[in-house]
Amino acid sequence: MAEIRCSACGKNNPDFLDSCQFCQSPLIPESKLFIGEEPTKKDTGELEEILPDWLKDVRQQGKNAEAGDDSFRVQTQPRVPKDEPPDLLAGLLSQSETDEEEIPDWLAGIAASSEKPSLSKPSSDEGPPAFFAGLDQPEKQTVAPTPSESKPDEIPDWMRAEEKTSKQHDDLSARLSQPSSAEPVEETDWAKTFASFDSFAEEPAVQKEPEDLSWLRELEASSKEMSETPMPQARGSEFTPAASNEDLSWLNELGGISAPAFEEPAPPSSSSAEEDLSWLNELGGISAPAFEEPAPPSSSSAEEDLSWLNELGGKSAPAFEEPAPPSSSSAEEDLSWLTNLGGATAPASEPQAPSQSSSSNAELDWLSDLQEATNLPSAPAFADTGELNSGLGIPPSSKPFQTAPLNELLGDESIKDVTPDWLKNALEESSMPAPGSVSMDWFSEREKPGETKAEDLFASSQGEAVSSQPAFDFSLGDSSAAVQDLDALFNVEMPDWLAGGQEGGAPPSQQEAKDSAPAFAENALSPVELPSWVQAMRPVDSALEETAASVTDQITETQGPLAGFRGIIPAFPIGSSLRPKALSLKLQVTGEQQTGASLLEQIIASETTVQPQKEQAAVSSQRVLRWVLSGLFLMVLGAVIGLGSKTMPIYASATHSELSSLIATIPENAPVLVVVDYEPSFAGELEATAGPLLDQLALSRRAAFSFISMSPTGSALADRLILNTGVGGLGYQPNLNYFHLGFLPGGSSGVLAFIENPENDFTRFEGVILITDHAESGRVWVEQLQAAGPEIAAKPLLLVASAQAGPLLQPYVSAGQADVMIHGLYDAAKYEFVNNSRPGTARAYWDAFGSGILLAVFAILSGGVWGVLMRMREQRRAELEQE
Amino acid sequence: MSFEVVSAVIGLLLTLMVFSYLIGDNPLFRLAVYLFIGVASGYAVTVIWHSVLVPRLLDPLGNPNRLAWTVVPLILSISLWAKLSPRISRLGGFAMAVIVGVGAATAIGGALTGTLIPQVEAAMDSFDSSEGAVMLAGTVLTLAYFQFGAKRAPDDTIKRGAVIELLAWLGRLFIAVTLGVLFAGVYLSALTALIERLSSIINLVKSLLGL
Repeated sequence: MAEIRCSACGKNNPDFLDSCQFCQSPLIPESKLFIGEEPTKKDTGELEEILPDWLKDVRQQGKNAEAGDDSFRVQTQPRVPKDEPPDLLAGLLSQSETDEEEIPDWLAGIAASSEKPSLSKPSSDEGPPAFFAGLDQPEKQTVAPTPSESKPDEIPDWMRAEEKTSKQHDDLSARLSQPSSAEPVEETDWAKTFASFDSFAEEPAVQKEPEDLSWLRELEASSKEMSETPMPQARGSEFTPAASNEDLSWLNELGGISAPAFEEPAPPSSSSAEEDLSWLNELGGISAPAFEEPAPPSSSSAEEDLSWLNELGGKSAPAFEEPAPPSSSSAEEDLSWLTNLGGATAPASEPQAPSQSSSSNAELDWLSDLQEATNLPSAPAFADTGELNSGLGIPPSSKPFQTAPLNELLGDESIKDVTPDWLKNALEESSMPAPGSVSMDWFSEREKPGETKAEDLFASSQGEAVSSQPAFDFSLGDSSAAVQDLDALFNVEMPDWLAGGQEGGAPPSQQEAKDSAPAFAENALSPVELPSWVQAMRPVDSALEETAASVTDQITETQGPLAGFRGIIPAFPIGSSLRPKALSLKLQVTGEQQTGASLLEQIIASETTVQPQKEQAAVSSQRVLRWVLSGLFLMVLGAVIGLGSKTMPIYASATHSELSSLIATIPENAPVLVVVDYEPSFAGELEATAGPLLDQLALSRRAAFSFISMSPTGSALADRLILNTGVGGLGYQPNLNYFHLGFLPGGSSGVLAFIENPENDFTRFEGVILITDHAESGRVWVEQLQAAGPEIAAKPLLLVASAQAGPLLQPYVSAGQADVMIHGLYDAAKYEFVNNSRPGTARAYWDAFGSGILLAVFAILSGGVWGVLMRMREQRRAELEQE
Repeated sequence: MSFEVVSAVIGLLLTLMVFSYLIGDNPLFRLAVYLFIGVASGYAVTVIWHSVLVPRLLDPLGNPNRLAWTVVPLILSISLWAKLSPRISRLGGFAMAVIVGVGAATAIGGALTGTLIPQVEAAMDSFDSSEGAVMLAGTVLTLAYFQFGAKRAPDDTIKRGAVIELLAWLGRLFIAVTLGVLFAGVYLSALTALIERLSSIINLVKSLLGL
């Protein structure tokens, strides 16, 4: 078993492994495919399901055959992986090589007939088995053990029958055999299979064991020898010895180019292999003219063989389906007669028939039987190729055997009828990008008329050397390009794994290597090359190398198109490591926040909660209370006033004495400014309050009063003041004893302007008496008098204020800004008491005033007691309700 | 019947109409109020015309010597009429600015010289006796009552500090006394007015009855 050294770890591994069993590194560097490189073999066994049915059947037959006789297969068929293009009929190889039962009946019959002569033919045991070995030998071995002349007797009767039937297709064969139109487009591998038949024609001379199928091994050996065979000198410049060329060389022979070699008059000492090739050439194609034209007896029997073999090739499938001749009942017999058919061993072992100038009907009888006995799918292929060559008017000696005109046959409906479907499909252009179409260019060039003619001439001159040259030699031109083109062609048209079963044309070295692959031996689906377009779809290594460092510990793919790659499919779900951690949706709330939230909930709840309304007392009760209180006050005060009661005592105070002293300081007849700045509603209070002061000034000092007011009603109030204070009774006359300065607009500004107006001569006033019911008016006058200057500020300022404004103006009196202030009826009554109870208004109100205060105190106390009683009642009721 | 008796009777009726408010809002009360407002307004306009406009604005126009001093106030007074129309209200802006500016300046000057400084001096002088201490205590305690800063108690109740709470309670007493005094002054003024009205009515009735 061959071993492959791993480039990564340096350890040896079996060659059937794709990756190292130690380090899992890919062993086959060919897995790296770049543009322009040849694809490597890959296991595409999974593609078997998409194969056509007929291919599946064929492969299944091959599998069965291999399973039935593995040991025989191993011995006889070394399998070596080869780089040849895949073959559509590769699977048939095993069928024909490994199992006799799988060999088609018609082929088995042929093998039996050819085997008989091999038994009688002296040949070494170690030589190539059977007649296959001789297929290639005529090309490289000039000396053949078989007689050079093929006898007409050697031609079986069934083949002669074919000659007759082939005449019916003369026209068609003539067209197809034209060298100019010979385009080996349909050079498919099925034709390679016929290489074995090509070998059949050469092998019988050396075949020794009748039933030994080791001839297949010899076939490989012969192929190898063919690769080593020196090419003719005339073609040395064109033909490049290459294994691939040799593999396909049998196609040339099958195609018919080698036919002229057999048609050439060969010396009697020429090898029988030439004759074998002749019959096979006829099998491949052109044969009809050979049968039509009477060949001279002295001419080589190969011409006759070609003629009948052409007829065979031109015969349709039923020709092969005829039952085998009675003599070919066993496989040995088949091989023997086939050996004879090849012309290699028949002349030596069996008496050959005299020269045949024409086909005989008797010989065709057994062939008809053979047609009935055999029923192979590959038979029509032979029929077609036979027909192609059968109709040519060119003498058989100058007609190359070609399968190229198959394309032209497609245009002929009669030919289409006899063309099998699988062959039609093969002939049809593939829908895939067909590199094969390009690869056929060389083939077209190969089939140019001029070249073909030159080859014919060369073949005529070279004799057997030319005859050994394959008609479809792929070594022509650029052999490597041809191989690549074929590779591309068959990669497209069929899976490569099919090529694994083909071994006929593979180089021996590769076959041996392939034979060592256990996988192939154990499994019918051997690792094969992936098509180039499939490998082009594989990830390029440059992209993989970028991530090689990170994916070294990842999984290596072992199956499918990604086999051998590592880290392509992630071992773990994608994104699992990037998935964000689960976060709790529960809020982290502090105690303070919870308190605030609860407070907010309470507020919201209180907004929606219906608050019980407090029961309010009836309005009538309050109104009654108001009426009661109002009536009480009116009755009491009215009674007191109406009765003229003066029972309540009045006590003088020191303040009022000081006021009297101050007034005494005012010069007599001195102008005194009296500021009347109160509302009419307070006229009663202020008249009573200011009465004693004005009375004293008027009575004792005869002061000239100048009334000014910051209210428009001030003048009227001033007149009322003079009238109601008793001053008028003292002889005061308007504009004589008192003056109305009128309304003083402008507020504080007007006051300041009045004070500072020189026309007014404010300094002439000996005193200022401010009568006001609100503290604001008193503040303005106090401030502006202070602002007017020390002289004016030094003048006596007497304040007469209502009871409500008195407390607010008291600071100015306490601060010395005002000399004396009399506020309310209380001060007026006292000052009146000091002033000898003049004018007596205050005193008249005093009892009523006192009564009103007492009523107010009583009402307040009564209300307080009522409230306490009501609360006590509610508490008691609450206690009773609780109890 | 003399004018004084008629005026007294009218006065009596209007007084009774105002007293009718004891039984609620009624047309007599409203009539008395509207009449008082109307008479007061008419009387004010008359007073302003006769006491202000004629002697201080119109009369100087006839005196060429005082004409120059009268034109400027006249223009400013007329410009104030522009305030009635939004389109030309800008014309009265200057006059209004003069009025407000002069009034503010006068008030500030008078407040400083007539109230702030003298009252500060008086407050300082008041400390010669116990009056100043009472004034200071009353002032501080009253201000302490309006101190609403508080902290959260351990039982999550919001309360002011104990000292501030005590001062505020005392300040509330000062405020209550002050408001009581003011209310008492209002009551005394009203009571005096009521007495005067009742006395007037009674005296009228007596005079009418010949008592």
